[in-house]
Amino acid sequence: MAFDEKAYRKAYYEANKEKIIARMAEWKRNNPDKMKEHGKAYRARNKERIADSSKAYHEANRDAINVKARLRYAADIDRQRGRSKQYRATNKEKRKATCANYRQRNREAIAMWDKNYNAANKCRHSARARERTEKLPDSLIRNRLIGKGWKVVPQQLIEVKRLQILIKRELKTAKGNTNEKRN
Amino acid sequence: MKNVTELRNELADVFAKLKAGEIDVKSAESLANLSGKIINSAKAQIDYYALRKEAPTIDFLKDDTPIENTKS
Repeated sequence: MAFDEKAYRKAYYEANKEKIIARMAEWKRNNPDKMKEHGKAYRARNKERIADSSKAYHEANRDAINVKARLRYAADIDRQRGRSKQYRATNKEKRKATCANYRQRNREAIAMWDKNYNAANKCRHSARARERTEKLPDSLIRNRLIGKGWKVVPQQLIEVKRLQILIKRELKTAKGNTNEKRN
Repeated sequence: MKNVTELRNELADVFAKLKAGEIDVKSAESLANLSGKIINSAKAQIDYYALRKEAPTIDFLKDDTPIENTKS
């Protein structure tokens, strides 16, 4: 009867299975570089096989893979911002048209938002207007005169007008003080 | 008040006096109103030249002296 080496090896492996697995694991732990090389060589040798199995896995688990990818994307805010930025840069005209369409469809809602915003920021606007009225810049006086029908406003007259406004303001204050005294 | 510089100086003087309480309210008020009338007469003259499409040569607005800072 001839010696069957294959059967002998198989029987030896079955008899010493745990011992062999433990020794292999230890060897793998002690030789990470060799394991890396081995993996690389394996992938190079079995390129097509790996590609096929990967494709088959993706096809079989498409839904689960998509769900995981969506969850990863939802958690990655930087990636979302980057993609939005890229989209805006490449689709400028399309985005412009979409925005215009949105404004057209939601005209009333936008008007209401603007109204609410203006009401909420009234104090800020009023403060700015008050500061401008207080300082009386040339542009303010010029605009007031243009509003009253002036076509050309010489600079000398702006100076005179500013003094007139200041005097009227002072008079108003003085009159107010007099009325207070009377009361 | 022959020109705009004199008017400006006069108004600056009135403003300073009013602040200091050296002038009565009525006089200051009439001067302020008078200056308004003068400004409006200058406007009428400017509009007249603008309608005639001419370059305005208004003696009242001729000013050789530099403009002082009148902002308070």
